[in-house]
Amino acid sequence: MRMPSLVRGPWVAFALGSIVLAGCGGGDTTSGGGAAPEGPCGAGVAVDTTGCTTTVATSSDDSTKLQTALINVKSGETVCLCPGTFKLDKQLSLTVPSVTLKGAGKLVTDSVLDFAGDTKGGNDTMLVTSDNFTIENLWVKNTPGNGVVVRQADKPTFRNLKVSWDAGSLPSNGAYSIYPAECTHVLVEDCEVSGAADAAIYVGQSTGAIIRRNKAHGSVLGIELENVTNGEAYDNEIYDNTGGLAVFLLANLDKKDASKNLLHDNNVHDNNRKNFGDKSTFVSSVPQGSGILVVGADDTEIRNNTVKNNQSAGVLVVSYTLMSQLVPGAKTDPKIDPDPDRTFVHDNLFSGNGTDPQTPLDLIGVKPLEDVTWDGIGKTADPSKNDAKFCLGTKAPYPSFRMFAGAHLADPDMGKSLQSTDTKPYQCDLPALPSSAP
Amino acid sequence: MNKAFASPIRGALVLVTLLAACSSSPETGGAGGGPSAITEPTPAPEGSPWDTLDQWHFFTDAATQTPSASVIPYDVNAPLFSDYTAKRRFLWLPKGTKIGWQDTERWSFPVGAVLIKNFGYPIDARDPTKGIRLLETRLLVHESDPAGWVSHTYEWDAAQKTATIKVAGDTIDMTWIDEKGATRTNAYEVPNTNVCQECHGKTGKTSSLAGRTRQWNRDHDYGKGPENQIDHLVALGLLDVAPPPAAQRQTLIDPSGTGDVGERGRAYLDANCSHCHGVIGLAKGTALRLDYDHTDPIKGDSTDFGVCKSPASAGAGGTCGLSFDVVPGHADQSILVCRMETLTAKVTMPPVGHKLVHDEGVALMKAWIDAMPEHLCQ
Ligand code: HEC
Ligand code: HEC
Repeated sequence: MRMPSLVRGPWVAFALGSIVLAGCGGGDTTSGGGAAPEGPCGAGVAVDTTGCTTTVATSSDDSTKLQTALINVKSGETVCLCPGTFKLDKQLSLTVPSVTLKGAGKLVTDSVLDFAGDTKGGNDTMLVTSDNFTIENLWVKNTPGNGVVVRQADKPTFRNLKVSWDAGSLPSNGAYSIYPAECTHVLVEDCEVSGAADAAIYVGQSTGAIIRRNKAHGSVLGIELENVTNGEAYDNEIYDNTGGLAVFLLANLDKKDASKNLLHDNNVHDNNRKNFGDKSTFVSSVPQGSGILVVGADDTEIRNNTVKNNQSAGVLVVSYTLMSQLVPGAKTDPKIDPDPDRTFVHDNLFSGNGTDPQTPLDLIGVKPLEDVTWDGIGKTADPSKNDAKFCLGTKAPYPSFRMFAGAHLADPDMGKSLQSTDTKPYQCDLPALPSSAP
Repeated sequence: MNKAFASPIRGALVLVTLLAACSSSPETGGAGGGPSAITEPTPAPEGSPWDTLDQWHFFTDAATQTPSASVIPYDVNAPLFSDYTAKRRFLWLPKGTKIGWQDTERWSFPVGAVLIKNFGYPIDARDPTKGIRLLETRLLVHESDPAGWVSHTYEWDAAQKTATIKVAGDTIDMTWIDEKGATRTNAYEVPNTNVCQECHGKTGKTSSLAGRTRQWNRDHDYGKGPENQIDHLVALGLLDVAPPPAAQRQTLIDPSGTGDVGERGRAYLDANCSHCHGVIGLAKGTALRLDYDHTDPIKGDSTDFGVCKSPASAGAGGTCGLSFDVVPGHADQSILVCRMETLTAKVTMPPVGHKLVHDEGVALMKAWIDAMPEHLCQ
């Protein structure tokens, strides 16, 4: 058995130091006279092998080679990928805890995992089920199903990744690019994701998530927190999606709540892409041109964001009950509390939103629609009650606002008489959520 | 900088040492699949499985699937569909150890236990005397914590002499004749050993899926005519407690038999889907529960087994353009059926373990749904 480029052992890094530029630029041949040693990725290839336990280069059978490395890897080790395109024809999976998978190149685009030839893999194109997994500095492309999936694990970290589809934004793309589900302590940072037929960065049914400094674009949703508790999204740029940043409580999942999610300092702009989600999925009902979207989640704090040029709405907060009336198949679940309680929207910068509300927000019959809109469902007459409370802070200027009495959208006058744009009743504060941002 | 460390020679040495460490064996030169002199199974050191199947000595003649004396063959009531392969199952326990009995849950096996499953295609399903072309032999080996159950698979060579350990999976192009006399083909997929965990559970939490009362409670011929398999374990002293009598034990009926369609449907789902779609399992998050206990039409909550349940984050294709997992009386509108009927990689259910559609399974699921009192979900 010969494994020339699947070289095990810390000796590579030990002997060669961190940044290696092997060879002397003379093609395949190394010139004599004290030539630099050939690097783990071949002559003339600049790589950073700091911490690499195993270094894998492209070959004639990348799936087998990479999968073998990911089965043989030991806990605590790092598998590095040489620059080049790895052509993968099946699912890639990892079950060993505390493993790092990273590109050894200088740029995120140097080492590419291309799944264009994958006709066998399941819906989870890359599937990790072990704790403390880190993936970084890689470009994951053309996954037929979801991109990088981590299920039921603690501390998954996605860092400096690019995930995309060569064909652009198509319904046939994978649904999600980055997909930690049923996890704890999720970290997604410095990634650029585009083209997902559902959400580019999706965190589902997890507790504890930080999503920061990412770029999410060209997808149906840019970033989605679905049935997540204690999520924080900040310093992200989210643009050119159907909807930008979403916090959802959805029905019929194992985790029955979504709460305490903090969205701050994001730049959410120009999310006006036509919805290309599969008609039978929930996401296909996201109104084209939504900036920040909250469905059913409790204790959401939205502050210090810049929300610009989203044609349907800047911030839209609705009950799952409304969605279940508007979206075929979105059946309510007796085990969830569908109303968004205690939403706190303050100190954001709005401009150019709501200029041309799309279905179903056109039903409200207002153009332009205010920056912050809430369906008011679940609102109690008693203002001392914390249920379905909505606060815009206590500092002027307040954003333009509309409570659109969503429960009456089907009435002949669409609840017009019950709607209100007065911010006074909503000039209040709610406890600030803790932030981990520096 | 010490250039010697980076030399290929040093690399090769590391490799040789590592390879030697994983393949050390009491014997030299594997003896192929032929009859072997050693009749007692020889477990490999933990973490270092043998390179070839014969080194375990589970079979006196593996090619004919003749087990060693202490290896116990058994069948299951409701088998997992595996692309129409013929499968045979065996159990081996280290001397003096016993199985922890459970009425309904998975049994607990002692450290050292090994479960063995052979996969093969009949040469001609109409004529058993023509034999089986073995594909792979899968092992679940119960090591000490924290490893727990460890999965291995040994791929059989075309000559049917040797089965060699396979880590990253493989494809075997196969042709066979089915029971109707039709020639069938399949690019049979030997799974990589991570895939085992998608069904059997995570590292440290992997478990036996067949090892439970509802699957074992049936007859097998141990040489003296049909005998209840669990009673056989009792007779060998291999259970930690005395189980209730056979008639009182939980039992799945044969999904391909002639029993009640509701019960056959539930047995099929339990065997083929519940390891992921349960209160634990990879599809826990979908809240679609397909284990026998959750699919009870009277005591259960029908949303749990998909009735009028909208799918979770299934993505494009994952809904087949339909709204609900199960629409009672309307198999054609049920996502559950559609996902079994398709082979599109990102849609098909189960997501791993098969390359062909299980026609009989699909027909059974259709019958199971169509037999439910009709109810339009919206
Ligand atoms: C698609 C899901 C699935 C995959 C993938 C899978 N198994 Fe299984 N396995 C099952 C089910 C269900 C059973 C029990 C029913 C049966 O044996 O038909 C089972 C039974 C077994 C048994 C018999 C003993 C027992 O009690 O479970 C062994 C041994 C086994 N599998 C090993 C493996 C190994 C090794 C792999 C990977 C190479 C693997 N399996 C992959 C689902 C799976
Ligand atoms: C190896 C694990 C595994 C097995 C075995 C499995 N599934 Fe799934 N299933 C999943 C996962 C993961 C999902 C969620 C992602 C998706 O929809 O693809 C899912 C989703 C589904 C869904 C969509 C459900 C929803 O409410 O979102 C249906 C229906 C389904 N499976 C049916 C089945 C049937 C029927 C079987 C058995 C014949 C089966 N599955 C076996 C893993 C599995």
